[in-house]
Amino acid sequence: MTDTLLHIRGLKTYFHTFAGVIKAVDGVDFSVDEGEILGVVGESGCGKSVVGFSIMGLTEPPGRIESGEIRFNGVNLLDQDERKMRKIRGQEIAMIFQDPMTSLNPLYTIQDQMEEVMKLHSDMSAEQRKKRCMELLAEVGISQPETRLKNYPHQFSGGMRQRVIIAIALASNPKLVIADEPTTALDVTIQSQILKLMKRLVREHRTAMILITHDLAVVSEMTDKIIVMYCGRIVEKGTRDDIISRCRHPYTLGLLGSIPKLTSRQKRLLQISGMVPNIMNLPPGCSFAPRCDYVRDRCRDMPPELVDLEPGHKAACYYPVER
Amino acid sequence: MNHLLEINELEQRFDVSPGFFDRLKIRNGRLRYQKSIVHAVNGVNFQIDRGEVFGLVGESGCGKSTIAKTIIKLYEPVAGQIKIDGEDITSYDYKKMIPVRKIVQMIFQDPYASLNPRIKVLDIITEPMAIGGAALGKAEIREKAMELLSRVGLGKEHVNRYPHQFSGGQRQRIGIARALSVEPELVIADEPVSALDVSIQAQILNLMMDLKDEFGFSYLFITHDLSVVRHISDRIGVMYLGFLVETGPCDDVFLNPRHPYTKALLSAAPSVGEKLHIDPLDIKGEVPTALELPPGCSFQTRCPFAFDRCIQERPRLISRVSDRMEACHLLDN
Repeated sequence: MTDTLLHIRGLKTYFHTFAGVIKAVDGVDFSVDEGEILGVVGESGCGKSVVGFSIMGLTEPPGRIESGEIRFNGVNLLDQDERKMRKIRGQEIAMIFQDPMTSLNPLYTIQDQMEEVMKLHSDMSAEQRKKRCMELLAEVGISQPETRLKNYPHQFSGGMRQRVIIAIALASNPKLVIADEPTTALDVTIQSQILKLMKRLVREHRTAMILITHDLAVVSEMTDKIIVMYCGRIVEKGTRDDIISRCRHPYTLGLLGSIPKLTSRQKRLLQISGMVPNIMNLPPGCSFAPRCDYVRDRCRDMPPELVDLEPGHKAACYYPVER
Repeated sequence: MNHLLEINELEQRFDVSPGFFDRLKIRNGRLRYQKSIVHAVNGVNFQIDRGEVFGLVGESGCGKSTIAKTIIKLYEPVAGQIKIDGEDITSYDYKKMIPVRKIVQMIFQDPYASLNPRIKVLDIITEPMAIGGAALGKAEIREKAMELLSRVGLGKEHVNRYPHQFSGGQRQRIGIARALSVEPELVIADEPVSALDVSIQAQILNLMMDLKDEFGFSYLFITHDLSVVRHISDRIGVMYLGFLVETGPCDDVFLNPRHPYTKALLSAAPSVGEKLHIDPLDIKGEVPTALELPPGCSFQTRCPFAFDRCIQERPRLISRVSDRMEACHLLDN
């Protein structure tokens, strides 16, 4: 059951700007099993979205994948030419973007946009396509699918559009869905509706999902495994419980402490001092060293490698927090 | 003893009618010329006492920011009354508002838009003191600004820089220093941390609480983030579609929400680790448009418990249990 679907090794995506090289993703390794939900968390600018774009082969100049390997179903996606990538995109790997207001084309009806995937990746007849569109819309909870198909995106609210986008993503039964901040633009009650819907569909279709978000609460409710990123590198990864209740990296600890709790009131929040360093001018050692409470000399000299703490639970830290 | 801030039956409407030709519509065979009115705030009452943190929560479009902007008269209220320390400021014009602004200050959501990009930090912070006609000399004002800057965690070297040279969190610190420069008694904070990253958000929340303990002012804290409101507030008010649907002490409301919308909102909130112990209440559908309010209770279109009376009669915010107020017919039975 647990076949590895996606395996990423040593992925480096750099942006060559006039001001210098931005190492947005700097040596990232992880894998996603079939039917698994993986969460990628981090603050803005940590490179989490670039990971998603790199997998889809959507990095545009000045961005370039420098090295590494993205094995999907045994095939290295970085060796594929654009024609082969187009076959994979949409059919095998689908993506859900953050902004439901801009990721649909305002000039085409919902039906046109939903059918596009099917036209490209299947030989269904017009009738079959329409039937499938209606099934999909009903599945994501849009009532009166027949009339709704003829509507344009502006006739839908934000939550409804995100439902349509989810329906499009699932149209060709992909093996992997990459969701980049899928609910950030939505309100709390709508967010919980959409998250529940995504989790149900992903489980039903046995699709794997990479959920990219800054929201630890969302990740903790949705995922099986979690990766925490900081300045283009993975600082900690493990199962959901490893990260949420037994985290060892000081950054993860600080992030979790920064979130106020819903159940009880704290006197003060645990805070991480300082700011994220400039990604073009990272400190020579551990990128988190300038903000870390547990920093020692060694941290400032050499960046730590991601090492096993327990089976499956890794952290990039010389002195992981004992708990 | 007067409340520091008292709002009675505050209403705010915005005319968003399109141009002349777009307004001509044919309905039932007759040509009509219709207006589009957004009912942003529909009769809201609450009070804030000295030293208290009142959190206003609700989803986008529920009117919480409109209330904030109406209190400091960036918008003129359509109906209702705003009292600051017993003084009715509802009809005050710009000139009369100047002394009031020394009592009420505001911190805005977007730290990128709320600071003038052409003014240096020192001038940003001293401006409110100068306009207020403070009896301070130039040197004193400058000294006070420096003190404030170091209090919010910025250094002397930052004084002569422009806003674009700062990060989001630092800008929010500048915004806080500006608000505190006139030693206000009430600070209205409109989503002050929602544009910030998690780690910076914690820094700013801690700073805001420390400053409150030090200076002893009150907050009207507006946010959509339930865990933030839980952390910071003494009392909260929950808004829906321009109505206040429930108010009460923060701990009580979170432990035992009474209005169905509050229950739905709290059970929808994602959390790290422990969840709230409330019966999950799933609500279907989305917030109706504020252009046409539903008849009766604003929440009846989504409420799983709605009955006849909810459609016929608009519930009023009344107290049934001490300290708590809810606008819901269900609780009458």
